[in-house]
Amino acid sequence: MKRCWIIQESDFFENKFSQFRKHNKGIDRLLIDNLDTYFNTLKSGLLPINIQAGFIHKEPKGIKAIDQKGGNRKGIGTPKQARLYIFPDTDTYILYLITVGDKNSQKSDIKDCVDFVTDLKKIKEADNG
Amino acid sequence: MANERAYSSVSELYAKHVSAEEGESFVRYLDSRKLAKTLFALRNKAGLTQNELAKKTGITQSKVSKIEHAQDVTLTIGDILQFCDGLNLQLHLGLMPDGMSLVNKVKFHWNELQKHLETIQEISKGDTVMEKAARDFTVEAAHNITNGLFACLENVMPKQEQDELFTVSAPSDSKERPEDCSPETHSEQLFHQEE
Repeated sequence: MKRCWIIQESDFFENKFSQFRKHNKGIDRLLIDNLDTYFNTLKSGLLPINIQAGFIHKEPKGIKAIDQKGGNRKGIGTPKQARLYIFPDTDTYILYLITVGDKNSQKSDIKDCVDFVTDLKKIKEADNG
Repeated sequence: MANERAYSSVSELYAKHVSAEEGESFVRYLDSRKLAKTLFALRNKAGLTQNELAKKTGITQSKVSKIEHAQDVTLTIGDILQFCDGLNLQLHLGLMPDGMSLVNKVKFHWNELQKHLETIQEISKGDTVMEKAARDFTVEAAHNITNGLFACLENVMPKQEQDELFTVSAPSDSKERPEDCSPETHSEQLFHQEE
């Protein structure tokens, strides 16, 4: 039977996203719009590796960073660079939203993502015995 | 670690983080980009980058990007035709009543399927080879559609209840073994469903 993708957030995503929204009015919508495009394409049956767009960046361990490019910029002007970090788990069909940030926090954001995916894989391995 | 709560759509997720008003306005915005998002998915399905599609269609890469990020009302039929041309797809336009329910869409598509199958049978009449091809295809379609429907049924109904709904038996004079589920046997069985 065809499996359907779902979205889950990391424990710290809600806080990070709320902080991000406070300082980046409107940019969150650009990121979420691109996330919606990405998620709909996953749901149409494509593997993450086959989804190519200017707004998707490859990061270590299968993590992807979605940026703010494209979309409706009305009232935003030239948006500053931002990244929404996700991990599409092709074993469980769960798209994890890990964290969100701008260029300044990029290094620590990627580290948080790598830690998250490493932990996730450890849990999966433990579950599989 | 990961939060247990799961979302089946991005708009559902976004609505949780913003005010009701903001959520509704954003859902309307996402809805206004459905066609552009479908074109994005189709290009990816074809395994083409924006650049490769641009080369195939003769439009620029930035135009491809613009189409994929557009709101549907700003897209022209010309844009869509050019985009589809590069993906070797035909454009079919259909008009449906505003707010047509999913149930009615299922009925609509079933009627369309039936019409197409009848057309295939109609145009093949008088040509033995084509008649056989039409028959074979109808059998194959019946098999696949039935399988698809049963897969959907599994989602909404426990196996036991399904068994009570349908009792499919082989014709009494059948020489086929009961476990033979090839399309041809299956289609024969379809016509012998017990009431």
